[in-house]
Amino acid sequence: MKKRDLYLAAAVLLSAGILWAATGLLQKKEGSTLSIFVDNELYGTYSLWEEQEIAVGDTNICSIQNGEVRMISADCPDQICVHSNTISKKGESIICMPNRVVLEITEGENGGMDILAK
Amino acid sequence: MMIKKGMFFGVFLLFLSFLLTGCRSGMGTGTEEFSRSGFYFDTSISIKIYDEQGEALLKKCFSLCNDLEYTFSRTLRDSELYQVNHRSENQVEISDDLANVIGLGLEYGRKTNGAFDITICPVAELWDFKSEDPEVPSAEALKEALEKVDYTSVHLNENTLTFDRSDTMLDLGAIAKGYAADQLKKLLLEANVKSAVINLGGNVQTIGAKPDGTPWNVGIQKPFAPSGETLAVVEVTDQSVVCTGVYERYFDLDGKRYHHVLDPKTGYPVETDLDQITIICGESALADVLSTSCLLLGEEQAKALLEENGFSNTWLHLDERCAMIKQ
Amino acid sequence: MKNRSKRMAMLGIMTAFALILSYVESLIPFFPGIPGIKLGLANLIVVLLLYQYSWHEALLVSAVRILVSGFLFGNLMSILFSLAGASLSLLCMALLKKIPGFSVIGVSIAGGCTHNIGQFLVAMFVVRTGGLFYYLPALLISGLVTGFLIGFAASLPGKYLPRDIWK
Repeated sequence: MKKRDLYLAAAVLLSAGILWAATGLLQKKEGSTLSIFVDNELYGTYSLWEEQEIAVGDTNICSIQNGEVRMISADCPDQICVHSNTISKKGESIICMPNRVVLEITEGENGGMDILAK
Repeated sequence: MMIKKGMFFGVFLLFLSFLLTGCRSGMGTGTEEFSRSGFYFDTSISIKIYDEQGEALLKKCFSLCNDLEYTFSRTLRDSELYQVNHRSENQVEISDDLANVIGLGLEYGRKTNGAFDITICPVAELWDFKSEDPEVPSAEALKEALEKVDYTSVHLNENTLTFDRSDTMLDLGAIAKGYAADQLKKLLLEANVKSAVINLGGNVQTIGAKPDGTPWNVGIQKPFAPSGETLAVVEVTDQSVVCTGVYERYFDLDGKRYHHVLDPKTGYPVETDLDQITIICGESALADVLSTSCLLLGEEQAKALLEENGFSNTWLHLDERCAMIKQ
Repeated sequence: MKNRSKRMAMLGIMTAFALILSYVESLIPFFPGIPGIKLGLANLIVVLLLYQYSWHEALLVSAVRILVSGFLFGNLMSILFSLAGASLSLLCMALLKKIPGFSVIGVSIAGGCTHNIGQFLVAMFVVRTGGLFYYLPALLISGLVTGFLIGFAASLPGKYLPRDIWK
């Protein structure tokens, strides 16, 4: 291993760190709305505070529970979206590439609500 | 030499990569969030704790919820309340939890002159709001059940519960969740938790403020709107927010709406000038019983009840038929 | 000519190895959130070929490996991802190799990172969500780590295998 190799590795670490800090700063808020996009078009928006299961077309099903979103089922062969971690913060997303379905946490009109009393 | 340096660096990198795989939410703010949801008290509940003992505390909380469900459930055969309702003798010894809640229920029976009545169980059992084919109970069945409704026929002395009639049955649905929320808060406070939020099917209790010090933003559901749509968002610190509304459970039949807040005097859904009452105060059980009582009483009498019980005249109309009172 | 057929045979073996590595890679759970993103284990073969032969051989084997494994185990999407990652990665590695002062490890690190960046770019193109940036840091670190490990592994055959196995 040579000196320049180490510089390169350090540069990569640094850029990763900067990116992480940058994206981290932009996402301090907990999201409040789930936006679902199919083929890059908005399919619908849903409040993160209502526990529900949403069928996206006839290919994917996702669920909102406890302020978190996960993909429960999909008909894609790789199932990566189903195995993804749950998302809950603004900017996070779960993507089903084969079906072009994107679940993204965004800020909604109910912005800033932590919990719903009903 | 080169290999040694390389190996060291390699191990360091591996370590770094493991750091990435184990991210928990909240790492940035310095306080980890532990949350879990479940199904208790006939509704979905969730608890969020901001404390390093979160994992262990959640276990304790859910265990407590289980215990309380087996105390207050009207439907579970093994619950303490069920045993009381299907008793063989008219004098029973009950647990502290049950005594506390029944005590509070009877107290408000008195304070509302029977507008709120925990002996409404026989009537409540005639109505099924979850059914696919809901029906309105017959007038005769309701009349027969109404005769059994009388909170004054129940007497509580410490842990001894005495009934004048053998067919009296209790329904604690209007207080149980609030009481449970308070017990959960007590458990967490004893463990020195500084920030947490307990949501039992919309019955909200908070501990302290959010980890970053700002108050909790609690949304108040807009009646008859899709879940999540709010009338208002209030800032709350260390207090409970409880709403009772006619919109929670109801069915429509022949053009008429039948909601789940039953009038102990008629057996039918109460006819009131309010759709929703929200109470904000420190004790969730109190908020629960008060919000139900106010809804049953209607605006004018509700205001009187609140003033008598230490709530300053802060009746706030969130909407024409929705009010919020903060202590 | 003995050299040519020997080289051909070696390339065949290397392609087979690359395919095996592709398969092994598909068994390892790797879910940084972006579906289709791969670890890049087969890059080991690319690095080996780059150093023992030249970028021509590396490119050939890479392309064959990607197409074959794509049709065998993957789908159109995964082929696209792999091609993007592999081309960007090979380009950078070939260029960096020419600069003195970088060992095979450094080159491989660059290859690992650019491999993931290439895949990330394809993902951005297909899905157009700003949210993807969230995963970049993890992708970079992962590229760094696998790059380092592969670079290290690639230097081993040179030490322990007979020199003339290649040529």
